[in-house]
Amino acid sequence: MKTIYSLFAFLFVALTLNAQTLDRSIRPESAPAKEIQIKDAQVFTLKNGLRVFLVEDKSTPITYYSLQLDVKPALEGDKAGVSDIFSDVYGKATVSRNKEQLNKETDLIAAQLHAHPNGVYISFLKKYEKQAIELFSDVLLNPVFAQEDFDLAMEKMRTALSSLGDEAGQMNDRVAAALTYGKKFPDGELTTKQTIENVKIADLKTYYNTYFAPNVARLVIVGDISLKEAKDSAEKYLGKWKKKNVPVAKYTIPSAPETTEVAYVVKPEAVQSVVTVTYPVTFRIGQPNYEAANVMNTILGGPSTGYLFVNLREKHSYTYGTGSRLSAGELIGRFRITNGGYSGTSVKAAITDSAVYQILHEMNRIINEPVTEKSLKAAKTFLAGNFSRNLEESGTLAEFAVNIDKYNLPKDYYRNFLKRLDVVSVNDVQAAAQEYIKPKNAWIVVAGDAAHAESLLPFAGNNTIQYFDYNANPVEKPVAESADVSAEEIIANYINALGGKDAIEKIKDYTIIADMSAMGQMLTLTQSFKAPNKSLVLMEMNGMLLQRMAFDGSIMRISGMGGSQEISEGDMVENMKNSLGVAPEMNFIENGYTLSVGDMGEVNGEKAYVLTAVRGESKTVIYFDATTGLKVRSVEMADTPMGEMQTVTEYMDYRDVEGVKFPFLMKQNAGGMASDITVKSIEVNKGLEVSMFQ
Amino acid sequence: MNKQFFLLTFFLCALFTVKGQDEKIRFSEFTLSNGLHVILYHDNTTPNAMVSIMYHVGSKNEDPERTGFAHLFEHLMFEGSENINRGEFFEMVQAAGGSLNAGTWYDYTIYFENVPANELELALWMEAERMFHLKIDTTGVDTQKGVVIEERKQRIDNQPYGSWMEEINKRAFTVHPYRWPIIGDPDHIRNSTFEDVYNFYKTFYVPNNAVLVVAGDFEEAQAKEWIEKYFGSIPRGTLPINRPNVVEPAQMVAIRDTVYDNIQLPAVFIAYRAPASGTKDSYAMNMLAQILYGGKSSRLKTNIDETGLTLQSILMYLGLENSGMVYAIGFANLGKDSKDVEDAIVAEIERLSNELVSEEEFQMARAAMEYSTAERLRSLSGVSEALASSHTYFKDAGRVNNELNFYGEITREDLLRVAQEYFQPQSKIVIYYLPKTN
Repeated sequence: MKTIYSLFAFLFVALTLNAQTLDRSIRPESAPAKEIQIKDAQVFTLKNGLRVFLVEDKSTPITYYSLQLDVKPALEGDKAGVSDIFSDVYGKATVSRNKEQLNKETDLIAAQLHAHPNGVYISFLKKYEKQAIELFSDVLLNPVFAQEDFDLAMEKMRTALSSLGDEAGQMNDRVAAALTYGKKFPDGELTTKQTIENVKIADLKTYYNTYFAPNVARLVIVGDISLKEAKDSAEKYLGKWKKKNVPVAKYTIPSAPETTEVAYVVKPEAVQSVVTVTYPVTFRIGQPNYEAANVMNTILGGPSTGYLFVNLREKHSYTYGTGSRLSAGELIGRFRITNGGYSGTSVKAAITDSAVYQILHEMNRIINEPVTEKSLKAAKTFLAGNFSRNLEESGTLAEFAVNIDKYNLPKDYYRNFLKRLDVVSVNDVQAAAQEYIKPKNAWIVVAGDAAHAESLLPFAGNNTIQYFDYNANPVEKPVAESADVSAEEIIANYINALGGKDAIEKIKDYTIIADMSAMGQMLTLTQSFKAPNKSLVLMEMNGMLLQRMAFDGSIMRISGMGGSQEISEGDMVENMKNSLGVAPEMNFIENGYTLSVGDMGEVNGEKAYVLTAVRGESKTVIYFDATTGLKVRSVEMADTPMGEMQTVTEYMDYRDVEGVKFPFLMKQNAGGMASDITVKSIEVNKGLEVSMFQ
Repeated sequence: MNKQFFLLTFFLCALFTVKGQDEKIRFSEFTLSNGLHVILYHDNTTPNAMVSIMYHVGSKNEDPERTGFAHLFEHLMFEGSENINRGEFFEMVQAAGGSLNAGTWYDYTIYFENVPANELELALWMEAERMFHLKIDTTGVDTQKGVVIEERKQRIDNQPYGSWMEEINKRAFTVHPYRWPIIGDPDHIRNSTFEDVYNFYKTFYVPNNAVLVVAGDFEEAQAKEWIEKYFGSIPRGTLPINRPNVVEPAQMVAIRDTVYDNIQLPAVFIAYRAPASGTKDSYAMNMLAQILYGGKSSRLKTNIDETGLTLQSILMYLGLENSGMVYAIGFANLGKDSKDVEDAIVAEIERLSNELVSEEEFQMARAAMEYSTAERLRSLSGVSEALASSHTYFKDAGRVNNELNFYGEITREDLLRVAQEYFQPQSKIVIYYLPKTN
């Protein structure tokens, strides 16, 4: 079917035709793929237990040495921040070089030297190799933790902690980490203004003395250096490093929440909300469905074509970037929604709830719907391409060797990566989604303005929004502005705003003709109503009737391209009876709805009263503008086989027709399908025949 | 394809093999008859290839009433073409195992695809598609306007201090188009029309305003054949290209201002105008910036950060096509005064215009330039970007191999002279960021 796009299409036709007739519509075929060579790193072990991984790369002028500890240090607990301060103090001075000397010698050879709680890294131009390794080993073996540097690091840390709360992304990251991992797991520990004060210089020395040892470390060397040179150098500079017994801490391994919970961090006046959905998941490198899981995550949350990106960015413009990460971990892995990088996704504040809804929708989709063969193939090729491109960086080969060692993988694990990837099937992807994607056992963490918090209630399995400060401590819900009106008053205001009860009751029938654009299609909607409760809706495209839905007050008749049916009882018919006419809200109470008024809300930046109407299984939340009294948004919730479905409708552009205001523009989003309904004409009291509603 | 035709069409330049650093970037280049300049860089270390196209258009070429347009257009370039449907551009590259991205700068816009070597032809066809007949519909324009406005919020409005560069540049430049931000004014973006889109495309997205770089594992004759096939028949652009040539007058009086932001930590931003990229003085300025804020023993790190005055200081030099900027930033530690931070940073900067740097500092800066030049040229993307920008700015891609020679020519006296020229008290801009009080 030809879409409406081509009508609008703005085509930049080339002005000149070419003598050569190149048929540009022919897409180039792939040439035969070239073989990817994976060279093994060379591995050797020193007498003191230090394992060395060398990747010889003659093409690079830059060499690097990276010492990486493989330790499980004790939790920091009420001293959270030891490793932050350690990073800032360690590597500043050594027994034989004070700070000034060390800095000068590093700068004279333009070496990049970084010391951190998990080791030391240095990169340098090959011609400065001797001086560089001498500095590297000095920092590694003979560090000095000077009081002066400790005091300076503490001062800076206090200042940095004082600005927590400036950035919504950082607030979201902290709370999401603490909730995902729990505070009894290293990744869940947060440094706060209180814990930092418990850190003492002795803690840094203890950390170094306990965990820095050759037998728990790996040294990676990458550069234009031969095996013999590497052996000599490692032996000369690190051979005398003494092995020791290094304790291994036991952590509480986190598990996903029993039901999906909503955590809200208030960042006043944020113009965007930072949103993530996150939970811990058992996921390790080397497990049998590792490749299938990566393919699945690429289809769900990969760049540019992932379900999330296409929906939230390309379809809705909710955000600049979004994706998902499924990261493997030695003890526990993690799934999270991201901005395409390492933080939560920043979405337009006003649609925070819609963004969460769409995220969960896509997570459910990858569980429930098999992926297409086309997207499977694309994801596999994409991952294979990434794999090949990563090899451009020779450090990748070293990383492979380190992983094989660390996770006890078969020697040919990475050489067989592409083969394993190749056999992943549609079923494997769905099975991986069912195993790793958990929309019902997740933390939804949002940092944003308080006004958008309560709109997330429908997503909370435990029916509460939990508020946290940026240290992930529970806090009281911020005091909201309560609405000092009753449900009856809200409805009465609304009826008055529309033109009053009398004017509304004078309308005995009407016909609304509207254009509806949905998914790039343009449809014509004709809706006729006759009091008290007869209705006819025709949906047409290019003059062709797609669907007819008639209701004569007791029987609903639906016909169209998919066949026809008659419905005479059930929820649908009951709801139909109560939702027809200009202002069905007028009769809510006599029709048996239970009404409640929530705190003040906001719709498109304007304050609104929030009215919830419940009748049987059906629940509708209606927003009325606090100034004009008009209905501006409704959210209908329904249980469907695909999970709870929401239909959100916004009402705009109210215009007067025969003394009664009608909305002339409605923006609707039903289960992720967005449509705009623009009213073209409204005719009133034309004496519609009863027969047309049969 | 006919071989003779090749020879007629291509103006083949000499292969560059140059001295200096041990490993030189060896590339070949030629220009198609429609003006598209092509640079080929062969490296078969891994079976990958990269296609980059740099168009010589950036935010400085925009209409002052349509700022942000170059960047919005960058987004629109992914919308599709005559033979590529909307949304398919990303999909095709990824399905071929590739990755892609683009970037908009003050002076240029760059697009690139990293693909497995066997998909090079596809990437060339795709870039030719959107250079020849881009296709955009209302949905695409509306969506990308929305995305760009969210991008602005994410990068600037919702970031503490996010507006700093915008605040400085609008004061540093009064007539030159560098005065507005690349991301542009959201109102301009909302108001842009199809006609704007069309004109922009016909003016700037033409072969004679672009350079194509192919890097990686490919067979040279084959690559040339494909390039001629897909790009050769794209017509040369004929509309006049607006290249701003206004000379920004020297700043005669120091500027000082305050911005109130959603922050808790005050910060001071200090800026000076600086030499344009690629000028002799720009190499000197790079070394000055390194001496101020490069290595661990650089002046700001030692004399300001390490004394506890600041949580952190930063200094950077940004060389642009027509001008440049030096920006310094200081975040005062708790209990320290921003005024003291400002005075200390300014004193360090101005000291460079009063006395020669030490021989040791000078050696450190040279070593650092050597390291960063090598670092930059380690990846296909680094080499491609360097070749493309050298051609775009100077019509001389071979400059990538001369960088170290340029640094070699700089003396300590040059550093003093350049500092004296640019680091004058009256040419300074100081902006304080202070917490909004509610």
